[in-house]
Amino acid sequence: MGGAVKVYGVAASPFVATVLLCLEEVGADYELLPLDMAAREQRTEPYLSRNPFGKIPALEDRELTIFESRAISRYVLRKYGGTGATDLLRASSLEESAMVDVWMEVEAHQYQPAIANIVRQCVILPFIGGARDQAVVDEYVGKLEKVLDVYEARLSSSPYLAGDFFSLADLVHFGFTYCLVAGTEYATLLESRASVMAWWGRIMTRPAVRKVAPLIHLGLKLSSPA
Amino acid sequence: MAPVKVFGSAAFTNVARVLVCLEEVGADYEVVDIDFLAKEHKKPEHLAGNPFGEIPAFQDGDLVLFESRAIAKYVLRKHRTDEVDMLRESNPEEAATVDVWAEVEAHQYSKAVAPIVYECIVYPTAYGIPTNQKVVDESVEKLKKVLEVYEGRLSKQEYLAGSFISVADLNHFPFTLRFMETAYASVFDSFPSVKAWWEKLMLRPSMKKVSADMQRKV
Repeated sequence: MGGAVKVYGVAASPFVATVLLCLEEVGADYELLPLDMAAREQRTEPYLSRNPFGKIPALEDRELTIFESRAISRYVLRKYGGTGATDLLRASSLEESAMVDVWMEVEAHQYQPAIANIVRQCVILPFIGGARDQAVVDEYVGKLEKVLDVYEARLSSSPYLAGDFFSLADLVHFGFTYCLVAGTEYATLLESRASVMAWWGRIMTRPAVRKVAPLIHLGLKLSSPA
Repeated sequence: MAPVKVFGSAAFTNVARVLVCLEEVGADYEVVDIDFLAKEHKKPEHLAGNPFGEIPAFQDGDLVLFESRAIAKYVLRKHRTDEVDMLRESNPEEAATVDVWAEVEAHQYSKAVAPIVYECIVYPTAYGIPTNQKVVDESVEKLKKVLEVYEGRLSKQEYLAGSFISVADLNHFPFTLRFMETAYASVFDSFPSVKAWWEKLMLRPSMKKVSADMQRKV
């Protein structure tokens, strides 16, 4: 590997995975530079100069240093994406790009707040030596069910969230959803919803996903077979 | 061109976010009130526009959108000119910097400011629920840490993304306006560059207009 683009972070992070997926989708050269998360390397210099909020990932591309996974993803797709299969933003269409933005916001403000708490309790906490709080899990499973009902309605009339094309809106869902499906007993939340499950199946066949999923699997020691 | 429709009044911070963008680009728009107390936002007609039953929804001809930050981008993109370009999408490096600080607004800044606004203003006045001081105190501490980062940045450049105003700056408007109505407004006094940035934003005609709209009773 080795190339112009450097990504700082660990592949086990769903946020880092989002960025790696974008780089893989557009076929860009990149290098993943891991941080020692246990030693909180992300909270000290020199990393803080890259991301003053001390979170992963950050990306360096020549003179540009940026952070926040969704901002990084958009940059990678704009800079290195093309037309057709590598056009995951649909900038040439006002309507399509708006739909991509809508469902990216939905992921950020509806989907992730629910699923991240389930993944934190069931995967992250045990991984770092803690134990889950089942009451918290139950609360957020309830919230995620309501969100998934909206997704089921949407995906029953559209193969992908923004329309009939795969986009960044679908891609940003991958990391946490993979952790849920491969690392908890709550895969049933997707399996019980036919359109959501079909959408998930389409995502899982993508070459970029097949490359990045094992990194999450290994990084978090997920319970199901890879 | 028919005016676009924004569903929800300016009293809602997320509606105000969209209105500021419409004002900045000089677009024609119509605000359609949603009766929050009558739970109109949970009824089928509104759900057709926002399936999560939240405010706002937005309509431009056949296109129906929701999520205020997505609507904001659509408006700014549609009306982009060489003079008024709040997204900079034709320049990947500039657009990236705009996107970074728009994400910071959504995930760092608003996460600190919104609970203060909800606990100090929204819950007591709209729901009769007393302020949870512990939540407020924790949020104020979070906000100070965020403002330290902002101070570092805004002491070196005029706007969050650089020398030009962008959607990253605009998106801060509604929650910050409400925050300034609370007893904690003086927190900004310790961050002079941030305070100067805010005061400069508030001079913009778009902010003055929407501020006035936000003060009117629902």
